[in-house]
Amino acid sequence: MSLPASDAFTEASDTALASHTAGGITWVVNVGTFTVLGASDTVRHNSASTEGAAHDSTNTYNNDQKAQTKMVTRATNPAGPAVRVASGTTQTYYGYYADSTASYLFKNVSGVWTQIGSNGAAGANGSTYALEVSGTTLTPKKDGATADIGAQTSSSISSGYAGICGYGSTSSQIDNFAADNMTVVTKAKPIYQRHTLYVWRSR
Amino acid sequence: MAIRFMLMPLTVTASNTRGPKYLKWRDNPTGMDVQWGMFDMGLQPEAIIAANVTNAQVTTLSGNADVVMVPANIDNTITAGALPTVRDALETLHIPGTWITAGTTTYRELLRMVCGLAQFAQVFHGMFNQLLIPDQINLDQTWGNLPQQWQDNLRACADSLHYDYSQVSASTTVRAILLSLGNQWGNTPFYFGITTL
Repeated sequence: MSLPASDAFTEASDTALASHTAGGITWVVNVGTFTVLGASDTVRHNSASTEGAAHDSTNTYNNDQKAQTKMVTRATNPAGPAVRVASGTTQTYYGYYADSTASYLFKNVSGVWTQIGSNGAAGANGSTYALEVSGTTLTPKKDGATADIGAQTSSSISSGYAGICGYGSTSSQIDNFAADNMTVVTKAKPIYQRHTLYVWRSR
Repeated sequence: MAIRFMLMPLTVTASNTRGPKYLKWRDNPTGMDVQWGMFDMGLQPEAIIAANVTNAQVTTLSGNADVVMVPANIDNTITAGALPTVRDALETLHIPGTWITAGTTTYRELLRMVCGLAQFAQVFHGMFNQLLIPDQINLDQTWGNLPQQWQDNLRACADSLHYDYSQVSASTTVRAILLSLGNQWGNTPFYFGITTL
């Protein structure tokens, strides 16, 4: 699969995320336990009192990247998108997840989990949650707009893969994973630089 | 309510999760319920925090001995009367403080240096999963007397950020090195979510 990546988590029966390949992505679980639920075609984290993260190992991402998921069924424990997820089983990533209480922007660096900003609004079924990282700026977004937590500066993690994250047992169920590199916007040249300028010489 | 900057310890739970000691976060639901953003000092459980607080909340937070509250107007210069307290508070946290000039250095300049040093410490944590200033190193030590591994790690971290450390010699103190690293962030804004510095 090439970018943009996507996964609708379609399965006939409950399947461990690492075994779920129907979406065209090879998922590697860094930490925790994720299950794709056959009855709802969603994914959730399910490991008590444990942080979880998994990444799309199929694609190679630029350092500036974004990941997005849709909240389908919110629960007591959170789930959401992750960026700059380390390869293999290293517990290093930036995450933005939500549950029935609040939403949280955080980093996990070699297993040290740190919340970066104050609690945001509780998760809402049907809403999309995105995390964008560009340079040292993390921007959590809800339904396309910057979330109430706001953009934060963080230098801990410089590269990695897009993925998902969660916490605890029977976490919120999420769907419609989408990820891509951040787009570099090139500004158009001003008009006077777009056309050849002819200068008439006087004789 | 107004945005106030402060230095505050981080609580580290048994699950190795971290958040501001006196503010509400996921694993401290009874903390002060205010909007905040923060930069941790890497693996060191301390952070520079911007919080949207009332005067009463400022008083409450300031009543904690381990909270260093920055004055509301960060464009004021640090007075001669405040300098010893400011300097000692920083140095206790392994943050250079002796460079401050009373009547000249503003709190904004000080905050930007601290924020820049926090970003360097975060990169150091990310690269090596270590404290930037471990217990066996203090700010008065000179480069030539530092453990080789720490020197190598610092160079690698500085190189990753394209920072200049060409002026470092065997007699350069850790204090001077950290001050330089903190200031090399330059003019790039620091985003705290609720405010930008």
